[in-house]
Amino acid sequence: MSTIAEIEKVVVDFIIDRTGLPQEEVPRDKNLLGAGVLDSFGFMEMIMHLEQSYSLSVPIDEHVLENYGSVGAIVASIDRLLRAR
Amino acid sequence: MKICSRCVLPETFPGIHFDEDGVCQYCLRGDAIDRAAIRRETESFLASIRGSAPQYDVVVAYSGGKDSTYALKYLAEGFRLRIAALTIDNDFISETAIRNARSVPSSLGVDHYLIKPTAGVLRKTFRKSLEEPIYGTSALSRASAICNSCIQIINTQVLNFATRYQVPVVAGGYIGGQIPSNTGVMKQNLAASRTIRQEFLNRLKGILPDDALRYFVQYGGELEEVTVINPMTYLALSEESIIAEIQPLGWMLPADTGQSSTNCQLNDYAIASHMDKHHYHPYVFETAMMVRLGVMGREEALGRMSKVPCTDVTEPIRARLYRD
Repeated sequence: MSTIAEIEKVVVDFIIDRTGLPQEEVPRDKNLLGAGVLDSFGFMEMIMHLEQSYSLSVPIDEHVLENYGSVGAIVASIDRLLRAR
Repeated sequence: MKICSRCVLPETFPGIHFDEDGVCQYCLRGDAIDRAAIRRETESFLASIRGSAPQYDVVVAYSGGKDSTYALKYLAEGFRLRIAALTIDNDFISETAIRNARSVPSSLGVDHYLIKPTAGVLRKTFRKSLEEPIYGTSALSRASAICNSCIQIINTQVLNFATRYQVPVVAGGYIGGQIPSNTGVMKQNLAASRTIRQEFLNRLKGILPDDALRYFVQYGGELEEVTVINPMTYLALSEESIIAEIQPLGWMLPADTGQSSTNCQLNDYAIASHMDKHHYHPYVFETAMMVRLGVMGREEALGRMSKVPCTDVTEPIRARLYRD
């Protein structure tokens, strides 16, 4: 089972890879779309990357704005899905 | 201005940094993508999908420009798929490009659909795209604000077409650098996509009028996911070879679409506005990738990126954009 810190590293590494942002500038508490960190293409790709990384299929009812609100929200959502497995 | 010593990315490009030899992080990382493997994966997938859906195997986002025309030809001739080509006319599509969009699908045995949103509403949308902070750095590093709005509308309409006709595969003519990924076969969950679009739509409310918002609404249906493919990302062809391949289909190079587009007359104004505001060319990321892939020489790329469309060219476009 991956820890919260490990999941966060996967998310943050993805963002760094796509944006060139230094690690310390990746916002943990901001809406990634609203803050312009990722565009919609990049965000979709991140979800697919997480599904592949954890062999998950995120259920339809989990695709809600609250779960996408920030790095923290995304990590919590993935952690919850992994625990429920 | 400092420019990467290997590609053409300038110091004004968001998030750029250089090593002591003046090489940017993208060049240092190299082209780690195995295009041959992506091509094999995508072609194996394409060979397996014929006849799997009610009416169409694939819907292609078809602008009538050279890249999507080549992608259409590649899919139609290479895999004998049942294809729908969908064109969104943003009211700035050159007449030659519209003729291309009408004639090429027919010569390839492909059904063609054309959506023409209300011109005045689109002009309002494009103006607001320039004037309001709708797009963040990530989106703007790959396309101008106007192009981002156009792309959002096109992608939404293509997904809605796929949903309506139960088409399991969506294809585009995006080249490397225009989209974040160079993945070949990409599953896209439509519920996730709707949620992301809803977030975007929430930001647009209060900026765009309701009659514009409707073009950004992705609706639901029975289809749960689509597979997205962009063959041009792994085919990596030069512009000259693309044009040579598509001209026999009756495709003609428009003379009125500026220096960077083969379909849209608004493009030069979008580029000039972007360069004025952000100080880098909105095509620079994809052009840098073309240099890295060897499909464009660095000198040619530098020449293209240094050209700002002049006022003589952009003023008539601006006047048309702001005429109401």
